[in-house]
Amino acid sequence: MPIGLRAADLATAFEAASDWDAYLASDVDRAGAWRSTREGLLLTSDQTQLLGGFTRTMRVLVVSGIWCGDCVRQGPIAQAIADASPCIDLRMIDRDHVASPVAHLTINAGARVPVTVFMAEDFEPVSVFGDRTIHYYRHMAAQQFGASCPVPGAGLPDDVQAAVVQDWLDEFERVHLLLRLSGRLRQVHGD
Amino acid sequence: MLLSADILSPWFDAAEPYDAFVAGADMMQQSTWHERHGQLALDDTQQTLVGDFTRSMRILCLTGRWCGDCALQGAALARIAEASNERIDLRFLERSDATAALAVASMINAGTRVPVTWLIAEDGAPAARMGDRTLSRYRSMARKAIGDASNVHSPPPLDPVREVLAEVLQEVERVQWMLRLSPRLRQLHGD
Repeated sequence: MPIGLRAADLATAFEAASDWDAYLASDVDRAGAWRSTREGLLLTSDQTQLLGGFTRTMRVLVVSGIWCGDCVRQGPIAQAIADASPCIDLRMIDRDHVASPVAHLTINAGARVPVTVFMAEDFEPVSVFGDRTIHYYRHMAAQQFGASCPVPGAGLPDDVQAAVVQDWLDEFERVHLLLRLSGRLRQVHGD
Repeated sequence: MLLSADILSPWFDAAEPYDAFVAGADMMQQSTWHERHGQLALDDTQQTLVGDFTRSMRILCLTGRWCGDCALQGAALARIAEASNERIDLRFLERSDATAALAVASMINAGTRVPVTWLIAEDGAPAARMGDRTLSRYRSMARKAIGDASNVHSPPPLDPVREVLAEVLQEVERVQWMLRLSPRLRQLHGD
């Protein structure tokens, strides 16, 4: 039996996953926090221009929990990026969905979320991204080991939020360039 | 995609430390790895960051002695491990018939690409997978390969070799924070 996630497994999970609206409709009580985060996210003109120049279709599957605070912070970032590029096909799947690939994506011995799988247009796996980005971990470490304590319920500082958005965008750009320069895909598309 | 501890641990046990791995290369290949190692000494800030790591971690790199990107990332990882006060146990495997099962389980965009690097907790639990190339390397390749169609907006780095070191270090730092903040490891270490 082959080990590791294969394109066929990912295609099945992707088909079972939901787009943004359908995912939020699965829990209307919790959807408000997701929408509020999304509405507060504005990409810069440089970021929008970069995403608008993408030419390769990429599939992106966010394994998530609608109840999960880190997912509320990061899921809307992934959606904001996808909204800026018709080449990004983004879906979300609940971690505990029967078709979820989370068993293949455990991080530090836990079924952590969010964890995101980037794929080529034909679902061939490219990268795994998660659970938190470097800038969010630095922020957490500063809160827990630094001089200041977090204020309960406080939002993310703007500079941390912007840095986390850039962390996400960097991985989208890296994967897009990997696919754009791929020999097999250049042959398929004749470019 | 991240693979399980059961799958990765035997490969880690069979892998070689940096010096032994490089010594197995032919003279021309060795000179490339040595040249990169010479270019990638950590600066004071990087040295302090890595020297302050408190969690032990394993890093397993599936690589090719013949591969330029492998020499670049491998030497960067070696420099980081050397500065870590033995917190990082770094090992290398050559992609070959003997490691084909691991390579096939780790395919990127339908290819058995290298380098692929796993960052692993002290007890063998995988935390992240990195590979194949970094963002700065893909930007550089895109500029050269497709010119104006590359959609690369960022200027070239002042030092492309040391930029890869910074990118690799950032991912090692991210995983170090993940492990340092991990509840299960904090409970284990009482910190």
